[in-house]
Amino acid sequence: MATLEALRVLDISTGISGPFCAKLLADSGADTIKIEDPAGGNDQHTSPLYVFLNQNKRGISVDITSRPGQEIFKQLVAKSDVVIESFQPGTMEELGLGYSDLAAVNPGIILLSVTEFGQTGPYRHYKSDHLTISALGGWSFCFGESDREPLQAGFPFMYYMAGTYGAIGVLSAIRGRREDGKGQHVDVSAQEACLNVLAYPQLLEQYNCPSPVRGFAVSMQTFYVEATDGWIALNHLSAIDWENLCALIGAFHLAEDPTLLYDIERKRAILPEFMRIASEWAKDKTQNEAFQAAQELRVPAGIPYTAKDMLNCSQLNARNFFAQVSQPGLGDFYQPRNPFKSMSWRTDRQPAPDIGQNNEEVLGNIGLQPEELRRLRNAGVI
Amino acid sequence: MMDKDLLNGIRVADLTHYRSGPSGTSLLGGLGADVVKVEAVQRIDGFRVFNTLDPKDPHFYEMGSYFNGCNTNKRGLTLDLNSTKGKEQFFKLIKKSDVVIDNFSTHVMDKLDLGYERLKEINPELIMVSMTCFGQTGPWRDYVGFGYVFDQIGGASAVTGYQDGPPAHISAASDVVSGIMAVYAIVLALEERERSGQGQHIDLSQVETLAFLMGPNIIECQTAGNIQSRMGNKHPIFAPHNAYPCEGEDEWVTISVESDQQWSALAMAMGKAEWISDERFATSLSRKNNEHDLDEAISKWTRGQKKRTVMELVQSLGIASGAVLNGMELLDDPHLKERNMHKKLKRKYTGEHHYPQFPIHFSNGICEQRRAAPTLGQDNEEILADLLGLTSQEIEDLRKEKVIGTHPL
Repeated sequence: MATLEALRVLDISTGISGPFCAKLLADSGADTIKIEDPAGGNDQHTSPLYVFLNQNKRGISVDITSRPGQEIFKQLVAKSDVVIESFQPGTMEELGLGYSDLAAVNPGIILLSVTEFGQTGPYRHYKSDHLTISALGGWSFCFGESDREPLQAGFPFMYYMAGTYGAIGVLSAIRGRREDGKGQHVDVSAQEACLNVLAYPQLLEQYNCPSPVRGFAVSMQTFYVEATDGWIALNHLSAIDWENLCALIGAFHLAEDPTLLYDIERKRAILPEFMRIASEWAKDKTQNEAFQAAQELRVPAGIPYTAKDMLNCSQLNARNFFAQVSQPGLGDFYQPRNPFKSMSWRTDRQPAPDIGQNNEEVLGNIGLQPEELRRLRNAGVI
Repeated sequence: MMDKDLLNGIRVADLTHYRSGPSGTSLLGGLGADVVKVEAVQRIDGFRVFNTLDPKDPHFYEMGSYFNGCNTNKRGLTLDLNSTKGKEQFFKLIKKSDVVIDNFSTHVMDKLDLGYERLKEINPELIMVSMTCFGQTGPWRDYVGFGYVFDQIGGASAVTGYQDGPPAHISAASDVVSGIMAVYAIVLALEERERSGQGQHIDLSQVETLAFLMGPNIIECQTAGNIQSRMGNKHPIFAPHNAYPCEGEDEWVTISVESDQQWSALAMAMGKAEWISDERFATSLSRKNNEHDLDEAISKWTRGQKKRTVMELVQSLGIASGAVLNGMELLDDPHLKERNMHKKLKRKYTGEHHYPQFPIHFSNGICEQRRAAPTLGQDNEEILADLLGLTSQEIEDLRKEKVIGTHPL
């Protein structure tokens, strides 16, 4: 049995942060009901992102902007533990579904609002996307090359972080509820999630350290060279790593002076020579040969794996990292199972639902009769 | 209403070092858990000596901003875990803890005879999180790695970087992904223990935690046959979608246009109504096809203006835009200020500084920076006497035998 089987979650969020948070809870066993706008259409429901975010959820469609829809929503809230929403701040209140409205129906309810900028503050109504969050959250300034434009990460990093913080917030609130039965409103911001993945640039300046300089090679701890079939990354962190790395490529003389390691300027000066020797070393090896040779010498090497490389990775496969999944409309494929191994996860994986797929079952459970369901459907409420 | 300490009564024995574990345990402390950071004078957290300005400072190991940033909300204990006496105190700590977490290489805890099976004998309900590079099992279990390796093998590097450039790393930020995911693993395991009374050993591969986030790409490469390429700041369908230079040195603003209506509004605001019908820019498709010219044209407009002026104007049109903020600007940002996102903490040796706060705000709970990172062995007496019941003579003996201490050996 998965850990959260006794928990019911209503997921009315859109985008990535909220659905990802609900996914973590759903994969941990929570009965997670995804509530969508009946007018929303089914177009995106077979996209890889949608499928990844919404497996193990049941799907219903309710128009919560209508009075009857709001009543249905409140009836569901009465039988649930958690609501996850990601509307513009103030929207839930306008719909009569703010935290106090929901708490009046169910004092134990935990409302998680996971948004771009949070519920308060001057930016709360700002339009945003991952690029905007990366800029205002301090990521971009430190990321990219110093003579070019700052960059975001190549995947919706900050939204996944916001969703994970949201899931931690929900389970912490569940824990707090045991004391007095009272739920609460939890406010998570993607901008602030971004602030928390930074390497403390605001502390550097306060500590009178040199300001961070943008540049992938600035740390001089990772060097990409070309193998016969793609890039190989030669990384090092400690003095021993550096020694091993120089031994690996046959540049013993570069490891003779250990003070070089922490002197960025001197290290930069030997970079062309290092790169020439490293490139020469790598040029007749495959990525995998180079990686294995490096790891044999305990050099923390890496390969910039593509999605396909990950699917073929012997380590990930030996650990049964991928689950085989069948999704109507998208086909059969393998996908990551869980972010860590624990007895807490669900072991099965149900396909992501179509819009309103579980209307009869879920709404029947709160006492709506077939005739009423038909009437609501005709009225466009569900 | 009283603000609750949501993880009140939970004790965490924290053996993690560098960034991946500590960034997570700092959050657990912020939520009210009693986090005891265990180091040894024989082996301090290596992050202590990162980024210290003066190696000749006698307290150089207390001066680094990275260590002090990710070790807030913890008490500091030193114990030589190689010694019998140190182990004895550690076992007593484990008996009084709910969680133990480490990010050593796979064999280290077993070699110290501190593996899960051993610790479970002492505390059957213990939750143990082992954060390794590649996991506890598999052919690469003993391979070495740190943040950059997780970025690379976990799939972030290949999709990150400029369109015309090599793969990049994500600054080893995958350390924080693992740290925060470990916190989710812990609060989830606490729920399991609440329900079934069972503890567990959580096997967290830091490569896998990151690879998990590549789920959509992994599905897409099978269902559509395409492998995502590096796109810089670009959007697959919409343009303009980039960072643009502004007045001053290294000043930038992002603009993300996601429809033709937004483009029309932006063109009007830029005083370039003719661009709405310009065949190079009229539709999303034509703008994507002429993205280089488009970016040049927009840069010409942004270059003479302050980044916040552009952001405010573009936002007033209902279009996403963000000023690219540097470290000090984050401290002064009016939005983050109103949300109390930095908190002043005072620390011995380093003084008062503003530390970033966590992104979770509870209406009836506390999640905040509570205390500065501990100095080495800062709370030895308090923990050994009050929690583990040692007399001051016994503590003195441990000090003499270098089982505990406050200076690295």
